[in-house]
Amino acid sequence: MDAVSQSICIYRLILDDIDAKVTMRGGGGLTAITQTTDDIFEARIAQEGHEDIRTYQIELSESGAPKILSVKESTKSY
Amino acid sequence: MKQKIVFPRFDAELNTDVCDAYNNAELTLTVRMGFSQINPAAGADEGTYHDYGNAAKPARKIIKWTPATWKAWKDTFCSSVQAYWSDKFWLINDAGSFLYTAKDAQVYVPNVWCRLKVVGQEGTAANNHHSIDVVRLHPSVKWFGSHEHLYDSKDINSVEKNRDSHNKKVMQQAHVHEFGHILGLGHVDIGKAHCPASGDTNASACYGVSDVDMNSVMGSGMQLRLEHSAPWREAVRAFSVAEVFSGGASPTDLLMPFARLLVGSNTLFAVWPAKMKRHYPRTPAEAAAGTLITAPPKRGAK
Repeated sequence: MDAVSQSICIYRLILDDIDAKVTMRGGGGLTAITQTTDDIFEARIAQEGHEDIRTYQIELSESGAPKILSVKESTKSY
Repeated sequence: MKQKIVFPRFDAELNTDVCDAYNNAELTLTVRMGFSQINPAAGADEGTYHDYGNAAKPARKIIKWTPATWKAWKDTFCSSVQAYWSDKFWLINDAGSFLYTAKDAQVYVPNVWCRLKVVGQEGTAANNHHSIDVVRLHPSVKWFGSHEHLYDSKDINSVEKNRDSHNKKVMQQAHVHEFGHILGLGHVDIGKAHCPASGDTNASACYGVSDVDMNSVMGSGMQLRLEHSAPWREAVRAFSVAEVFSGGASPTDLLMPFARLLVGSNTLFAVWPAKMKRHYPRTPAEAAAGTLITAPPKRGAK
């Protein structure tokens, strides 16, 4: 799997997880998914007065197929 | 008698002049809101402004306020907040406070009707309890990242905030929720395991996980609950305690100390339980017996 295909897989995995797990569907929606380290991705969902942040640790197998190892939820208040 | 106590979040006025055999004391919290416009830069008709006022966040299209749209927005904010929060609670007088003698010569223990007055004024006024800046969103913009001191023109609209367990939309007017914070109320699930008070209580879980909590106005919905009477209860306790330390509500009425004894309550430990239905004033004997009167009672002359 080439790098771009692998990235697309990772982002799809994260998007599917957000769609399945996030119930607070109002607000400004998903405003960013950013890779912060080799295996950590941060998704930000804008809400009134704060952002919900979901931090994903991703495992890449030898075949290149990504898997979510963990998800941490946090909040950035404004 | 009208008495006033100034709190950091509001001014409170207790009016016992309105008391008679049928009417309770009125406790009015007055909140002075300061409003300031945010307009496009350099006098332009259109421009942008970033979510949360943070340059790192998405920029949204905004348009210039006109005198008419500004006045209409402020008026709607104040009137809709006041309509939502005012006249919804009655506090049951279990303190034996504010006793008065009506024209029928009967001593009464008034309950307290909870009222709210929202005064809109310029953001620069020195005596504002809370000030907000407001952007006017371009009609094409559906959402803007607001916070407690930065609103957008659509924050007075009802919008989807959440989905319950049946995938039903939970709607809310943001300004009504935010006004709860201005009065001192926190999010519905603060203190629960998924929203510890020591953590960031703005986390989405704090807005309610169960359908019931989610629908609270201090969650993601518009439902008012008894616990939302807390600001008035805080204020009435202050008046009640002040009455004790000032030597009684009416030194001219010798019946008062005896009547207070009849009520059999302790001002300092009074709960002032809230109700969302009118409860009529009671005689000391009725209060001592724990009688609650929700239908107009047969009394003597007012």
